[in-house]
Amino acid sequence: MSYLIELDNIRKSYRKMVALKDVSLQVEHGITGLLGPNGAGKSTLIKVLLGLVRLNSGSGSVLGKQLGKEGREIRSLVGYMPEDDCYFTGMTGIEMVTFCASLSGIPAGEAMRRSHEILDFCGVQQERYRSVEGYSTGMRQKVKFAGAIVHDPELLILDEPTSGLDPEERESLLNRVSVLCKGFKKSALISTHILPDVQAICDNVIILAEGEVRVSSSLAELSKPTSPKFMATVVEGEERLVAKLNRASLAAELTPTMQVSVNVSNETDLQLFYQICEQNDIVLKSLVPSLNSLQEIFMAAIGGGNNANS
Amino acid sequence: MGLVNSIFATVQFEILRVLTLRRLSVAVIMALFPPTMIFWLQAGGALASPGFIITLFCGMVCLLSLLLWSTSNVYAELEGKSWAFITSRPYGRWSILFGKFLVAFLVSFIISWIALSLCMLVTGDLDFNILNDGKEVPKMQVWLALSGLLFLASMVYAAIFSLLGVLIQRRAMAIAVVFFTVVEVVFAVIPAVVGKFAMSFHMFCLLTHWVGWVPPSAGQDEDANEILQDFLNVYGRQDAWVHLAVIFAMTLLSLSLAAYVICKREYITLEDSQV
Repeated sequence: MSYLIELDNIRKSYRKMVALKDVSLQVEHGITGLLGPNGAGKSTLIKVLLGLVRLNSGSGSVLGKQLGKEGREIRSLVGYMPEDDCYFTGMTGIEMVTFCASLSGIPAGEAMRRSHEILDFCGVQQERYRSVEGYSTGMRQKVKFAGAIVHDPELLILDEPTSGLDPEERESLLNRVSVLCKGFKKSALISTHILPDVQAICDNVIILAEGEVRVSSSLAELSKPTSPKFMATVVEGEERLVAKLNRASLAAELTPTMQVSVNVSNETDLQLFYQICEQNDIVLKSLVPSLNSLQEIFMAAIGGGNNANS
Repeated sequence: MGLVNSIFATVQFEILRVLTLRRLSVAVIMALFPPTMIFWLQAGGALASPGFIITLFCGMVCLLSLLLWSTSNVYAELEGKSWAFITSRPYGRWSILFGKFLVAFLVSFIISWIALSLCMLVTGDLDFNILNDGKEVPKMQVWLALSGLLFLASMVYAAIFSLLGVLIQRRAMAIAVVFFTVVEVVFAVIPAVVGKFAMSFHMFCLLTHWVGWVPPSAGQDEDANEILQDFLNVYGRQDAWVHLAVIFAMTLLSLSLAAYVICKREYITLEDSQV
């Protein structure tokens, strides 16, 4: 099986500070969330993938192209949206995106045509003719995103793409990433601090901490419950239900979102749960298996030991 | 073809930057400085060697413009945080180097050439007293020779300063000034082989070929002619094409070296080193 990204014992240090400690990783096609606290090595990992920094040791490939040997080929297949506010002063939105297309070697006329198409896709209307210096944060993010995808790359590397966006713009941007990846068979690596973004669109998750990969797995696998818990939502009487369940030896507790978390390990427990609800006139709205939250996984990963490629 | 497109795009972008009000004002001030000084000196009756003064002022303008435009080629992008955005493109690094070199070369030549032409206009009928083999050199020929030298100087120093900008990011401009002073001023007047490494020497030789003139005083001056003869005796008398070839070779060498370094080098910002 060919992986989107394969890294084997990658080590990168800046003088005495080790940014990546023998990182080994296999990333599958699809949307991958790259998580980690500040200073975890996310930006260095992205720069390694783009061939912008040299490796101290190790090897790897991106889209089948060797790191350090086929840098230009990798960069022609990758679209990068940096976190920095790196707009070009004096340029309009359309000029900036056209410039990005031209830097990828696209002829001027074609670059202009594509830029208009991509800005339409990104929801930038007449503002494209205004100087980027006067843009709002949301508009700058849209133009940076347009610049990253204008040359039709196979892999998108997005560094904090939704930072500074309002909820509506955030959802729109994530939708665009999702459309590109699911509708046009692209892949994306999204570095972010915003866990709900990862939960919303990512297929895989990588958690980096202190230059090490702590978690690398599919989101579905990570979300599987570690205990046979169910979450129940009722019309009213949550506290009464918790008390009755505990009295019947079904461990239950009330969550901050006023859901009832209950341990149901077999069919008998489930029947007992329904019976208690019925006997106490508690109307059940929903009963779903409890999933591990990404926040719990993230906190456990950055706080503790190494369970890479779990 | 992809590289050509991306260089062309960078040239367009850099020209857009030149056309901003702030940069245009700087360019206009630089172009008007030599003719204003010439006019002022002429009005005060202090313009003893107009050819030398014009060459000096226009050369300074050319040099200053090159320092402003060439030396910050990499640092401006690192500081503006656009380095990663540009260099994540397949031809990003080379297009920055060659695109900025071309714009620095063209802008510096145009500014200094306008300054030279205005100086020629300001001096009007003033006699330059430049003689070649006892004959007065026409002003038009002086203008053409100095235009040619400004073109060559803009080209070769843009390439050298671009190389310095690629090698040294912070204080590249200061290093370029030191380099110019040591190599192009001090080395050039040392009567030894080391002098031939200075491009100013080759341009000086071209000037003697084209107008038979040695600054600072006029060609009819016996001492000046002696200096010229001594100089040429030490360095040898090569044809003009040899000097032209050296200047073009130096341009190519500097650009090739810069292209290699910019492609291979890892440019790290302060944020990078903090991961």
